[in-house]
This record gives sequence, structure tokens and C-alpha cells, in this order.
Amino acid sequence: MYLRKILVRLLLTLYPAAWRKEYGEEVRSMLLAQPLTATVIVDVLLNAMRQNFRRPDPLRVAVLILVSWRTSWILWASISQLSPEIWPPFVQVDRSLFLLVALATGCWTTINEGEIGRGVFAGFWPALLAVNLAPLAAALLLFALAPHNTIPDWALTTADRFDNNPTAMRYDLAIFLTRPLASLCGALLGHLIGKRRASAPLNRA
Amino acid sequence: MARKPETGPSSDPELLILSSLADGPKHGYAMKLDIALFANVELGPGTLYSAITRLVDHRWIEPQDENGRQRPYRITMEGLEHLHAQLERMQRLARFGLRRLRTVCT
Repeated sequence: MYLRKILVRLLLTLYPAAWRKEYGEEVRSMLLAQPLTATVIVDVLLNAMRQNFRRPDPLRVAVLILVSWRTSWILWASISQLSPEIWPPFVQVDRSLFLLVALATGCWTTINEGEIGRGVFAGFWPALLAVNLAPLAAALLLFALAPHNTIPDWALTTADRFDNNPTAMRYDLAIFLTRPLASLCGALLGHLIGKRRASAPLNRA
Repeated sequence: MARKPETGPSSDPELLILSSLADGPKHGYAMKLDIALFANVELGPGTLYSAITRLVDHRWIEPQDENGRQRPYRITMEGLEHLHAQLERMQRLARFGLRRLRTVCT
């Protein structure tokens, strides 16, 4: 019975958070009330996938966008052996994309869940994940696809950039501060949109 | 368990749920049992609640007040109209198809 409860909980975590909040408890009690056959599990899995496509979770979408962007850039830069001199345009795009995604995710999450705190967290968290996951994903892909000598030195010496380059350090600190600020702005915007939506039927009446 | 099973439009989960709710509010498990009884179709929990989600989004059904772990759902006026239109369409199609079949057989 305990294992069954764990399996049901695991199955339900595959659904988007907003959906789970609305229907999770009902589906949970239904799953616990009937035999958990392979057909039932497949049915739940397929429909969880369908719900994820239908009601995408802003946080997951943001992580996917940022990780894909960073990973593909690192792969491209590594395989083409780009020199640091041509980084600035990439850095501009990267910075703008991270801020835009933080703003949009904060706004979208607050509209969906109605809590500014959740919006700020959802706006900032994907950036942290992407920054740490993308190099890992790129390294794994490079390890699988390309020979080791295509990885440029700079990819392996990011720590030195922090220690020896005050400008780069200031720049990274600025990014570290602007992303939560963008999340907060997005969350506040989402809160305003949510309030406006909530009061719209009253205005019409 | 597929969204549109091979048995045709009469086993469409949305239509089955609307038909089940046509005689009064029911919660998920009661709908599942009712559908198995009148249509001989076994809806899995995932399929059932995906269909319920779509119906609620369309405002064809709505949840009633919380009742323990299982909320009862009731069909709305728009839902009744939609069900009526769909069933009439199926009836017309069935009548037309049967008439053609009879012509071919004779």
C-alpha cells in the first residue's frame, strides 16, 4: 500500500503544477481506489504528457529555452573554436534573453498561481538552472559527439576569468542582481494583470 | 484508452461524460462507473480527467462545492446544448448511413 501511494504520487508529479492543484487530489483518490494495472499507468503517463503540452508550466518552458540556448551556443563555440573576441554580440543576446525570460516567467507564473513570491522564484530559478546545467549538457554532448581537442581552453578556465578579471566579475555581479529584479518586475506585472482579469467581470456587470 | 478509440464517435470521452452528467451531477469515479454501465467503455483515470479538464475549460461542465476528495461536476446550459447538437448530428449521420446500407443490401 505504501509503495502504491509512492507510485501514485510519482505519477502525479508528471502533471503540470497548476493542473495538479486543480485535479490532483481527485485523480489520486481514484488511482488509490482501483487496481494499478499497466494499462492504467500508461493511460496516466500519456495524459500527463498531453497536459504538459496543453498547459505548459512556465518554469519548465523557461528552463528548456535557456538550457537549449546556452547548450547550443557552447556546442557551436566549442566545435567551431570561436575566439573570445567575437563573444560580445553573443553576450548581449544572452543577457537580453535571460532578462526577457525572467520577466516573462515571473509574469506568467504569477498570473497562473496568483502569488508574487512564486512568480519571483519561477523567474529566477530557470536562469540558475540553465547556467549550471547547460555547460554540463554541452560537455556530455561534446564528450559523446566530438573529440576532446575541439574544446577550447576558455571553456575549461571559467574560474580564472572570475579570479583574474575584475571587469568580468563586475559584469557577472550585475547580471546576478538584474535577473531577480527582472523576475520581480515580471511578477508585479503578472499580479497587476491577474487583478485586472479578476475584476473584469465585475466591471462588466 | 486512446483519446479517439477505434469504436467510433460513440466512445468519445467528452461525449460520454456529458451524457453521464445529463441526468445529474456526479464525481469522477461515479462517472467512470456510469459510463462503463451505459456505454460499455472503460475510461482510464488519465483519459477521464483530461476530458474533464477540456470540458471545464469549454465551460460545458463545472465543479460543484468541494465534497471530500471527490468533487461532483454538473453539466452547464452550454454543455447541454453542445451535447444535444452532437447527438442530433450523430443521429442524422446514423440515419443517413443506415439508409444507404439498406439501399446497397437490397
